[in-house]
Amino acid sequence: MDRLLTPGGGKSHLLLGNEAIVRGALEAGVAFATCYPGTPSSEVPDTLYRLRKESPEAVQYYFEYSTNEKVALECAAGAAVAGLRTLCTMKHVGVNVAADPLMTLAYTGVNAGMVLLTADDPSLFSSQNEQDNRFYARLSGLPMLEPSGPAELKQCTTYAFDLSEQLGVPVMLRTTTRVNHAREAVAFDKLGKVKTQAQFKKSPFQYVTVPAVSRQLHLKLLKVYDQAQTISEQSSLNFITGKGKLGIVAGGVAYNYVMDAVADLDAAKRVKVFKLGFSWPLPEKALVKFLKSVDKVLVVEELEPLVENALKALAQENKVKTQIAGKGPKLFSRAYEFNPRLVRDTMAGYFGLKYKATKPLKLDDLPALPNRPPNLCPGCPHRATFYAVKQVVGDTAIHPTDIGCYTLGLLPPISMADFVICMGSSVSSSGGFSRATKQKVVSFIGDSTFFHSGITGLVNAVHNNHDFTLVILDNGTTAMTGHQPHPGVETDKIGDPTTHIDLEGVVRGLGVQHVTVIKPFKVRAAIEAVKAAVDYKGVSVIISKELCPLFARRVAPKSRKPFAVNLDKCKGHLDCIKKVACPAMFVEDGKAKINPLQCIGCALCAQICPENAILPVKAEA
Amino acid sequence: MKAASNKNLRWQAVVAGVGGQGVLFVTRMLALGAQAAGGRVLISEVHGMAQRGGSVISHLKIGDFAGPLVAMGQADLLLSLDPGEAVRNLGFLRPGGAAVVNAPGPEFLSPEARTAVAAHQVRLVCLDAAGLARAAGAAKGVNLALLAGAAASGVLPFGAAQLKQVVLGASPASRQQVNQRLWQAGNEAV
Repeated sequence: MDRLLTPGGGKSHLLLGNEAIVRGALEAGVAFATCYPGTPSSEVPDTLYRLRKESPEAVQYYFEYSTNEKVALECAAGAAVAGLRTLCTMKHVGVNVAADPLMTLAYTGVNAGMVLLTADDPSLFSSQNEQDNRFYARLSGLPMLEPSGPAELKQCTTYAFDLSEQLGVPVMLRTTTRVNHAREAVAFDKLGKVKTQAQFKKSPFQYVTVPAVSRQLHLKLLKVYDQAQTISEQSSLNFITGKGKLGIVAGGVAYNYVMDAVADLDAAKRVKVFKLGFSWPLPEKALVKFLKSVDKVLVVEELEPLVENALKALAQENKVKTQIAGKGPKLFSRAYEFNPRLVRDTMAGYFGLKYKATKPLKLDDLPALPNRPPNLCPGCPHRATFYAVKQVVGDTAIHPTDIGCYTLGLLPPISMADFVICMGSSVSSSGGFSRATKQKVVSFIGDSTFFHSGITGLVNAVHNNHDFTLVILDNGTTAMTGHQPHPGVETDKIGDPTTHIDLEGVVRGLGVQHVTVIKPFKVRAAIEAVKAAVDYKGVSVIISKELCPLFARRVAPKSRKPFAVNLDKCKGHLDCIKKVACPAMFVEDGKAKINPLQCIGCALCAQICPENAILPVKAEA
Repeated sequence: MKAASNKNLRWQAVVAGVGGQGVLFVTRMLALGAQAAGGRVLISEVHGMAQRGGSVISHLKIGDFAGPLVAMGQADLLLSLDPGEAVRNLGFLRPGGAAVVNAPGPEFLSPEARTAVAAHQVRLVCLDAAGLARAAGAAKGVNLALLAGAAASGVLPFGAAQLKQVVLGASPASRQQVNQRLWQAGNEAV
């Protein structure tokens, strides 16, 4: 059995932050969990899914990958209002999708602990923006906890369930990539008892948010805020460490950088640090007392100056003269994550502390290396679909695209990504592009993303008679975030007790008249199908169906039959390199070659080679 | 080899490579090795791009640290599964640190990088881990061969035997033999 399911406490295990969230939830007796996956949150639901699959006898919670974040939160809300302890996880931009239910769920409240994980991504490791979701606590009026590392994460997760029950509202647990993906020893406590069944008690004047009800609920939420603030004032998650007249206020992973910097600067007797772990509502009284106790304060917070501005307002209200700084020239930026050196140097500069640095390696004359961005894998069917579309529409069509591996179609030589802002935007924005211009519009969306938020856009397009071609890249899984199932997954392949929803049936049901299903590695047929779809006046849909090879390797393994270039036949046109650029291919002495360790034998390059020089490697006798 | 369980030990490493090479695996093995030696371990991993060929690095800190990231200029060890990624991440190294790189020879690093390494007394260990792995019949075992080489060259704060035990302990039965071979190849090549 997995160590995360150990019933007893006492032992420590090296856990990823996201595994610590799972253990924390299990120790709290979580009974219900929903999510939409997304980096850096994905290992939370993936671990819940894996544990349930591997040890069905040992887990008592219900878990689902929901269709999108709004659905996940609403589903979780039903369970929590009914009375089950519930966890709902998503990445920061997912909370935008779930924001509609969230704002009013704060009004109705819940009847059992409910924790919403928002996993933020400063520096955009794997996201379309780096918005600061601490705003959501302020916007919704819900409490927020911000742990600094895996051990605290486990503790905060368990506590968040209790706090939620105490206050009767969901509690937001806010992490950042460096917390989710840190690993350290985490001490286990006992697993919690799980209440798996609830009985819903009707209370329409609490749960049916017509205006007359919500007017009262808003007042109730304001009282919850006051109550939460009282708890925050006394919370052990907010504490002061060190002593001196130089003050720091910090939370999240930035607090850890501060503590390393205090050690590096040998400043433990000069710098006093206010660690903010219960970060909303702010413990205002404790913070004012802290402000009064120091000469100047540096707020070390990634992204927006939320705490800094609040402290400045508090100082003004309370006539505190302490100098407060955070963002600004020579201080911190509002963009990107922090790092240990940045925090140390900024602290040293602001406080006038000396740092005896060892001289770093002198690397000024090192030529800049080309970046090595992620790439579509060898044998990725998206590459073949892009190729077929490009043969038909050339470089002039507009390609709204979406969130998934295929966003990597941005890179040359494919260069077929013109606009992406969020999940589902490919479909809806296509209507705008096609009406505003006379250009052809061929947009791309993945199967999981289509179910997530492409459907409503397609309904809109059919209803309003837009004119574009939508290509649904159906690789049978949610590839980018780690092969999670989605409604269109062939459930028998993965052995899940869920119901498969037929993508083509959905598309036809939405009223699309021109629907074609293609196999992208049958290049000539694919090109013909694209031609017909693009010529069609109105909304046409191509479903390009081929399993993600990484997923297929797991669920339907086939022996790999790599291809090789026959160097006698190869004339060095390099069409394969220039048009397809598969990472398994490289150029040597003016001719293409294939790395047999990387090639999976998709045969795309073999079909476009004008000399037919690319052939399967014959099995050696 | 240095003493195993030094409570005051502070040691920092950056592991670099390309998605799919096993950067996280190497980091986790080093962490388990450090833990077995009684060290407190902190790691920062990069997830999400692991199988798509992008640059990947992870940070490993052993000892009394708070944050999981290694500051530039402070790493005792840079372990790189790719020579290009070694050059890209040289700035993490402290003068006098060590770089263990999967490369047949130092000529696979740029001349400027070699100059910087020499000027700052960085110990550079180049090991053709890819070649060794191929010879051992497990082309994807580059990570393990390099790890064994690093252990054998004495740049780790714990013993090679200790790490070997951890690695083989974490290997499934089906991989025992091949991992033994990879370990031996890396170990003997230094």
